[in-house]
Amino acid sequence: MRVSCVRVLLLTFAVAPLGGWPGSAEAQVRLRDFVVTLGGSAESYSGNFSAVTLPVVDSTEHASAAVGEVAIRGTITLLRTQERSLQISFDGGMRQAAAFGFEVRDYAPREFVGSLSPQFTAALGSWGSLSLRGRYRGRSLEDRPPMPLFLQPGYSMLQGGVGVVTRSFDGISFDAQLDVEEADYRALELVPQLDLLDRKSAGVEAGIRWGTSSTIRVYGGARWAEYPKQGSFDPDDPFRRDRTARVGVEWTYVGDLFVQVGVDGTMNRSNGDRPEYDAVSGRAVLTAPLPAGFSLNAFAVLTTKSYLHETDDARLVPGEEADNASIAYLQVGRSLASNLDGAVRLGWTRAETNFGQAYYERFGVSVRANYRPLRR
Amino acid sequence: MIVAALVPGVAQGQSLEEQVIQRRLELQQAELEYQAARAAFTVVDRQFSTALNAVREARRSGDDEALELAHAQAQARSGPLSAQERRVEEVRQRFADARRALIDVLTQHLQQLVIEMGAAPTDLRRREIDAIYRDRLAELSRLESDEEQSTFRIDVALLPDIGFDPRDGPEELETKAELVEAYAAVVDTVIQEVDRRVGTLDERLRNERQRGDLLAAVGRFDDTNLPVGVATGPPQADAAADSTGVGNRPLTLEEQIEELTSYRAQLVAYREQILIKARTFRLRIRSVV
Repeated sequence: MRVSCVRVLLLTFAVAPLGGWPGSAEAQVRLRDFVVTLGGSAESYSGNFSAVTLPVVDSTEHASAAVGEVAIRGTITLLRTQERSLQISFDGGMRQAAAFGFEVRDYAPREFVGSLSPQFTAALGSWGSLSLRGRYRGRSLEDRPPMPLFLQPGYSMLQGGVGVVTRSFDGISFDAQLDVEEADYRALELVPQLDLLDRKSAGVEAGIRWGTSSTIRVYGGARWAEYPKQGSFDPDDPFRRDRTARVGVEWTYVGDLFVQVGVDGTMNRSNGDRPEYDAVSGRAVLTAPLPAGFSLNAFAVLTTKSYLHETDDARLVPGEEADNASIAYLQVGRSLASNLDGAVRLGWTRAETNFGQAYYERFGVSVRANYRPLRR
Repeated sequence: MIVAALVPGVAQGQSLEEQVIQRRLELQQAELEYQAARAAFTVVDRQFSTALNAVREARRSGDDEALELAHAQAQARSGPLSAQERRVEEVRQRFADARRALIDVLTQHLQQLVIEMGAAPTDLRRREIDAIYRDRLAELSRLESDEEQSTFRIDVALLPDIGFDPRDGPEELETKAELVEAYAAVVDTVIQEVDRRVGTLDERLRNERQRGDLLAAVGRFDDTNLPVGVATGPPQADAAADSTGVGNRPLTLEEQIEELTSYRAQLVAYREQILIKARTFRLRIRSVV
């Protein structure tokens, strides 16, 4: 949960492949699945939601934006044998929007994002495998617009984790992981509210999985989080601390179709009344081939929450306080050449609160091209 | 003890290790029978093709008597061909059953070895059992992989064992050339099967990549992190497709395609060698005549 924990994990990760593990290793540096993405989209936003971390306000309930983006991602495999593997995944991009419809002025938000995720995996004899994961993720945002055009603020995030997956025993395999995380939102001098989102957290999760092409995973876990800049309104314990329990089940089918459906329940308790809630979330991912070489991809998350304590506070902390939220994406894609895929994507998001009837909605249509220069 | 109670062979006094050996022998026997049946089928198929050629030839020459005779011969050979087809299918099924039986007993043996490993009195003994375990696991993976990819594989290192004999006359040389060409046709069929499998894998890979593209795109700019809602974290683009786990890890789709593409290139070169051999037979016919 402390920063030092994250660093110790990352250090362990860095040292492990150098000699901490037995077996003969062959270095096989290779760039895999390198993808260059270009995309353009039209987005519309509506809502009367206000957010505590967004001091800029505008009276409009409707805004729209034309958006262009460029991104790259890929994986560098440094080592890959039957016993061990070491790889670093990277992902970065820039997105520029021209936003219209605000009363005060038009905005031109520009986002830069990047992440670096090393992962080392080693066999644990014949029992299973151990993996060490790290992740740095950074984000910056210029000319952040007011609601209803919500864009996440800039932050830097450091994560580390260790996990174990066993081989199958009588058709059942077990997994467990521990992770730590530290997120630092970049508060500008005039926007100190962003610091409210700073957090440190640690979590454990364990699961069992059975099946082959059709698998079911049942899991449960707990997370402890501290928000050192958020008050709890308790003078004896002034800063917010949450404990979260989560249980869920996920079904995955891999065959001609890829289908993944999951549902999980979350119970969040805190040292303050305001953020205590119970939630149920459903998630689905579908990939299906269509005629003429087209494919359909869909992704959806639906969440409903129930707060334990009534509040009249209409100033919200992004990322938490609403009574339901829905995200859905639908994409139809096709290969245009052996190393070029094209896709049209529809995206829809909606969230509502019971108090004040506040809502937020986003709808977008985008056209994207994914180019794989290394593809044969 | 638990394993012993579950496995009939053990209850009858036969150890799992003995069962592994026995079923391995049964599998070898079934494989030999399968290869023999396929070889026999190739011969009968060639005879039937020759009869059909004779029919075509007779029809072209307008010789009614020859045509009737050729028809009769083709008719007579179609029966053995169907019978041989059924025989190949029966033997193939027995071969698959024998492989499945070995997989089952190997799986039970692995469970027993795990129990033995846990009860091993010394580290040395544990390592010994672990070594056996790894061997069995590798064998099991190989068998399961064979089961999944039951494509008929040809050993491209060996050319058909048909050679020149100084006593060969034109007819013998013609027969040998036809046999070699028939073998090339079998290789062609395997190439087509490999192409079909590569096509299927390519499509799966394309679909997986497009799903990965979607999930990477919606997670990249935090579009799944709303101003509200339970923080679910970005979707994992490769969670289900991840095949980077270690310890007899399965081949990724890319690796399977690479392997098949390489095998196809070998098959094409192999077929060329066979056809060169057939042409050499035919050249020899001219020199004999």
